[in-house]
Amino acid sequence: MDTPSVSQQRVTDLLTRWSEGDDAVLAELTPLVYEELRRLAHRQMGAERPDHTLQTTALVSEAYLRLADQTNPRWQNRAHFFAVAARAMRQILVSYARSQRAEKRGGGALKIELDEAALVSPEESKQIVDLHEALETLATLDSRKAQVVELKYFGGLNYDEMAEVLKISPVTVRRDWRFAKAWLHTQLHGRGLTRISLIHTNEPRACMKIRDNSCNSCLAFFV
Amino acid sequence: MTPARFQTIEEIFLAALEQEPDQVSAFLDTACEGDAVLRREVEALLASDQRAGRFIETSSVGLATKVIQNQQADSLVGRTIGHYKISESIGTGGMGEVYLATDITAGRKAALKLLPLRFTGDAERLKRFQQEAHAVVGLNHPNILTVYEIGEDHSTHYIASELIEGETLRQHLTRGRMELSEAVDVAIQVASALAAAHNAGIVHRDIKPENIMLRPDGYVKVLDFGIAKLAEHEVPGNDADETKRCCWLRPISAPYWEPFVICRRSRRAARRLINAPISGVSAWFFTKW
Repeated sequence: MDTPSVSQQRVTDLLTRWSEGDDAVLAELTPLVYEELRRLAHRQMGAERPDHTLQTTALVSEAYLRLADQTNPRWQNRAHFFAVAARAMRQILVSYARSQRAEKRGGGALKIELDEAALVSPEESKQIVDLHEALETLATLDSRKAQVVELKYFGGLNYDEMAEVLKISPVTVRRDWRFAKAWLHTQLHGRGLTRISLIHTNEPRACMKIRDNSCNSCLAFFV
Repeated sequence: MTPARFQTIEEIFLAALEQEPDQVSAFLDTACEGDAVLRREVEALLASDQRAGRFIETSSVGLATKVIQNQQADSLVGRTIGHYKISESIGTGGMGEVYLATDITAGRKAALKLLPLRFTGDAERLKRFQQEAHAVVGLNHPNILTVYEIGEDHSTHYIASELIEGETLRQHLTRGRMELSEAVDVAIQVASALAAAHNAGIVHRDIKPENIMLRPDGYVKVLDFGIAKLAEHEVPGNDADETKRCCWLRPISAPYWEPFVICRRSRRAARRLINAPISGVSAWFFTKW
């Protein structure tokens, strides 16, 4: 059996530091988790189970067991591990969706189209990229809400797990989610003036003309 | 928008949700203190809250898993598979990843398609695919992509083929309608390729604009003979009931099915008709032009 490429102690240290509030370690932790998820996904797709549909929770759990030191297991670390996995899966999906969209626009001069039994439909790709970009804006306004969406949508965490990671009550998580969902829905599906006025509160009337995702009058770009 | 403003909007929004429906308007009058823009923003959010429904409620982890499954474990650029040295990725899709590679032995460029593990994991299915693929290697026709080799290296299965410069018919069509004469020319070349394959007992199974390449010199090349066979009977995911009902068809591109693929019962009979696939192509052409 192959072994993880990094030491368990290192991952445990990083997880502990992150749970203590050191956000800088996330940059180091995410690629480790990302790589392990990929390795595990491939190992699990062995010849013995061709119809295999991987259960993501099981996949992330196994990655956690392999990467993190189990001698002193703490649920908190495990929840944080899932949070890192959510970040990793967001990166995986967004980069995939972006590459799909780039191809659709005819990005490569030399290219062979493959069967379009597409993994992610064009609509899904668009939603993922739009959501990702709107989340970046949301993070500048209220980073915790952006995190709630990342954990739930990209990571599949439930309210209790999110409460654990974010050190807030499940009730607060639900409130955050409801507001963030409404806000994101307005950003992605709202129309015209309303959508723009959220960004340009001073000049709502200047933004009446909208074309191709940008405002014709003030040249503002939709988020 | 500042974080403080955002917080104000949130507070009013959450408080408004607590109001009786007929009290919301009066509540907003008071809470927004005559700030019309603020009020419009809260109202837009309340409307979104009503309309959002299942929006982003279904986690994307299933999609992420599929993407992870489909990607190769590591970046393959720079590595050698069989006697092919990979130099860059030139495409990706449900059927695998395609790389630009150099055949070290023959000293020529090639396109190397790596089949995803989810397609090659089933030994029986893989064997059937290989039998047919080897027949394709034997095909020699100007309109059929020349397959150099079907190979395996450390359980990575690959198909090496000639490298074609140009664009797919799909890409070509997105830039506008074709002239009738041009369309007829493409149709004749595609039909010629399919007829030659059928004479050799090979069914394409997935004719569509993405599998037809147009070279700058006017030659049309049909790609991916028989690959659809590998994807048949793929067990559907749990995300779509629709695909469960017709799982045996799922990987194939519905609008362009050749007739015998559409009707499973008649497949055996249709196989005997040498012109059956041609009608599939013509059906497709008439929908296009």
